[in-house]
Amino acid sequence: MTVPAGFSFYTISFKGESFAAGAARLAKLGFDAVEVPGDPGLFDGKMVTSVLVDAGLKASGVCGRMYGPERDLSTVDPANRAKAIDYYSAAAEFAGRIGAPGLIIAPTSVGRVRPETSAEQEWAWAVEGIATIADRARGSSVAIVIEAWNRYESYLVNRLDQADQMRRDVGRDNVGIMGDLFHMNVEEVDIAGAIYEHGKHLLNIHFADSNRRAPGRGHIDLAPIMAALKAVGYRHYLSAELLPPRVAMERDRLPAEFYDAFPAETIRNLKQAWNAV
Amino acid sequence: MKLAIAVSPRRRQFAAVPLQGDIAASLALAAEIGYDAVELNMGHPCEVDEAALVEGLKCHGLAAISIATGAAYFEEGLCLSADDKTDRDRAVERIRVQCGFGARIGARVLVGMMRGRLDPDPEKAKRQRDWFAESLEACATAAKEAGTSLLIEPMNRYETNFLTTVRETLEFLDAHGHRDIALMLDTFHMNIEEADLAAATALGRGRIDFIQTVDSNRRAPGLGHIDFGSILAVLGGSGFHGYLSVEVVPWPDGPAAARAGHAYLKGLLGRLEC
Repeated sequence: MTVPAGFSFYTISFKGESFAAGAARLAKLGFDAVEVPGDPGLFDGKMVTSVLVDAGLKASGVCGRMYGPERDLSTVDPANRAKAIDYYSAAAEFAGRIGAPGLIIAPTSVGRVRPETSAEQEWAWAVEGIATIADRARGSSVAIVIEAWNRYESYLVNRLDQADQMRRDVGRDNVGIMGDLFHMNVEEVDIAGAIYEHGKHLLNIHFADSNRRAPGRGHIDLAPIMAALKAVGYRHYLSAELLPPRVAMERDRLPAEFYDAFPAETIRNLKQAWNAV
Repeated sequence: MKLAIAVSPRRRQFAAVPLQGDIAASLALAAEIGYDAVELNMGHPCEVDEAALVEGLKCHGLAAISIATGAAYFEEGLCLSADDKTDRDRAVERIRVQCGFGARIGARVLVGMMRGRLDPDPEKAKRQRDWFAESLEACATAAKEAGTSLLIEPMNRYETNFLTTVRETLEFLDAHGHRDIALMLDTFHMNIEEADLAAATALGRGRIDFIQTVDSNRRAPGLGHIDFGSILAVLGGSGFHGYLSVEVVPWPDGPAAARAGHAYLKGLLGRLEC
């Protein structure tokens, strides 16, 4: 009987408040862990470690912040690709410092929906970059996790089968993949089916409903998804990434439900759905 | 319910239009597959030889149900909520020209991306909404004078942050007294924005002109995970007799997508007996 490592939540949606405040609230709601944003300002790990100890939470992972050409593993400028590799390597070291088992990366930066050169060339650059990051992380406890995004955020890896192909091409055993249900709802022919077929190397999963609100607020059916995760023996964290539709329009804070109601609904609905199958 | 397919006289590489370029060939293929109608995706009527188009539609027994106008936004930057009144007027003029053409071929004119995107600053966004309302009023008048009407399509958050759900769109139309503008729903956008696709369809009952039956991955219906049966059941139950249109990415290629979409919808309609 497979048991997940625990329930986690990506604090990116706690805009405008301290990491400590968000962690405290998640602890109170019964989460086991926090997924931490890969912001370089946090990288010495001291503040994050202290907050996690106080809150009694683990770090389930570090999620890269993949904005701009200097965080793009497959952009045409080799200097930028090198900067992206260095960024991710630093983020992986941070993950190690805070005891997070994984660093989430992506083969393009967020929002790059067309190739600059050719898909084949950019795929090759991404593979090269991820292999370098993985080699630098070798011997640490941090795995490199390739995330698939929907077509509006990247053109290169949109589905689990593609993420898994990239993992195979990288050919390092400290590399895995992850899916995010919001993205999968757009890109996968069938979400549960994709997990059955490509879930063997899943190291993380972001839950969200179809509209990126808390699970239960959209139309995704969790039952077949939980069944698929159990069938592939998934034993890592069940995490969540929730965001409002108009993130750019939210100046200082996101709508109120993202801070309290949605995290509470998330853990309740995920636990219920996991236990029900 | 009858079936339509999206065609574009020009090749538009990133568009979700299955049949692109060579309009005569597209019409012939649409008819051969068994479609009843086409919806046209074009930035300006000059993209086609109108007489040849009319002849082609007649010869193949196809109706033209709608003109999708978004190419003018993407390719020419024409925007109904632009900062400058001169620019808004140019966008309205384009819709007016499309309405004249639409009326002549029996098609409605669809306002999608030409509504633009709202600025993150709430005060600017409010002005943009007001400007769009003004432009829409002028467009609706133009449509009526030409002898056609407008449609408006809710779209997902990545395309625009302005009118993304059935509810929001109906509220906007009602706030501005537009019972003369109907909805066109695209299930690909709905899959992202609506908490429940059948319920959202029900919310639009009586105000939906046609629906683009596009699967979750923007491929032909049947190639993703959308439950079209429940949506069509709601439509059928509300007395909908309009078109289901296949406005999808040309995957694995245009003709294959067109065939797959037609076969799937025909099968589904047969099982639902509508």
